[in-house]
Amino acid sequence: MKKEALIRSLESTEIPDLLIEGHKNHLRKVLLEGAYAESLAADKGRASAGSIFRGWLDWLRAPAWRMAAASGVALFIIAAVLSLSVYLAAPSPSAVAADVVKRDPGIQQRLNGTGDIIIMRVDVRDGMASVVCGRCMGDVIEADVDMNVKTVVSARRYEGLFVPELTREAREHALKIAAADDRVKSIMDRGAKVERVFPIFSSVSNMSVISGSILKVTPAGTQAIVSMQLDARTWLVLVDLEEGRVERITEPEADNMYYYEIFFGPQNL
Amino acid sequence: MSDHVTSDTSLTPDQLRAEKELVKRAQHIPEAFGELYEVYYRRIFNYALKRTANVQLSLDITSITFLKAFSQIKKYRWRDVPFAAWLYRIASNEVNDHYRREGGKRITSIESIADLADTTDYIDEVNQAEEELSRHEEFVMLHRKISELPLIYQEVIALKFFEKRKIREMVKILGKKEGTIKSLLHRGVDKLREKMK
Repeated sequence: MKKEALIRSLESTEIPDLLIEGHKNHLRKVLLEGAYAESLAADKGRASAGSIFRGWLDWLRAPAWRMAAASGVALFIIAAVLSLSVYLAAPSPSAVAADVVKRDPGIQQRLNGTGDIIIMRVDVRDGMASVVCGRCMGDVIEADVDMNVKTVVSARRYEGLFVPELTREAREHALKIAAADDRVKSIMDRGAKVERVFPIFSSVSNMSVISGSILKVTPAGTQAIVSMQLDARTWLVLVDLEEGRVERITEPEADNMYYYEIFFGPQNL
Repeated sequence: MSDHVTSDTSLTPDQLRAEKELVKRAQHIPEAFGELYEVYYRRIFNYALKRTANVQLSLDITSITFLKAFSQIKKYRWRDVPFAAWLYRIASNEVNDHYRREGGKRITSIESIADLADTTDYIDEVNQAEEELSRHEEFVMLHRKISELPLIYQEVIALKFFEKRKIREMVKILGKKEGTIKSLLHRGVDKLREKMK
């Protein structure tokens, strides 16, 4: 459509001219016979008492004052908002130290294990930070960070197996999945109690509990084991947290105890 | 009510003087405000209707406009501009506020609106008005396209083409310079043309 045609169309469009008498009368009643009219009348009575105040208002209404006051208030608000934003946006020293360690190429290279670097502890003191971190199923490193230059200045590695705990939500999720399984119910009915719930990670969880051979690669943290105990016997329930189902249950009589030992050693049995 | 006062925003010097006196009285006497209300009610309701193409919403906006005008009339300062310009500006702001928070609540900025929300006394009139509105298909179609534009363009197009206001009247209503309004109108029509393609 051409612009001239559109303008003609806009100018010539027939538009209804309506009136809702009922609404008009109702609104008039509210305005002139209701609380609004009374408040207006009350204001009239207070007119003299408010004259000094109005005098002040009139003085403030002078253009120069009004502009100066408005500008002052606006500047104050902007400054306050900026200060608050800077304060809120600034990361804490602990977060800065953790970030320095996570980004450090030397730390990244020296940390074995799988997955992202997990920060276990940060202690900031006198311009230095001690950061303990590790990757899943890997060694643990304690790094010293100079907070003034935000650099890792030294690091120590502690050999061992870092197994992060399940979150409370994941633990409850695992227990819920296990409890819904008929086989687990049957074991529980016999009097078995949940002993503990722990995570299982790719390098182990993909291992056959019978032969020890690798079955498949599973991302870390997607499976958990619920161990149940009755007298001296232990059942291990392998739960897939993502699929929401029990993958398998190892009976105490099965030849699979080394699987448990990988994590906890025979003393835990 | 003086015969000199009309619902136009363009008044002769005599009409303007008469309206000034009436506004002055309305600042202290509710009945005088009632005279202004009689003059401008229909104009404001139909302006809201042209902006929203929605009868019920237009009633709400009209209510809010007059409730605000009535509650603020004591603070109103006469600047040799017709009273209608002030009412149009209040109504315009209410429509714009509504569109800005569209998807949220209906207008409820003044508690007394609850007293007015009950349309049972005039529900037949509202239904008839909605039917009448729906018969104006060309307007409804144009409004649908206009409502896709930024609010400032909706405002100038509605005032210029639907409300038939002159540019100098729009200057008083919108508080913008003549050149700015002409430019907004020009760009608004161009944008509307793109929407119509």
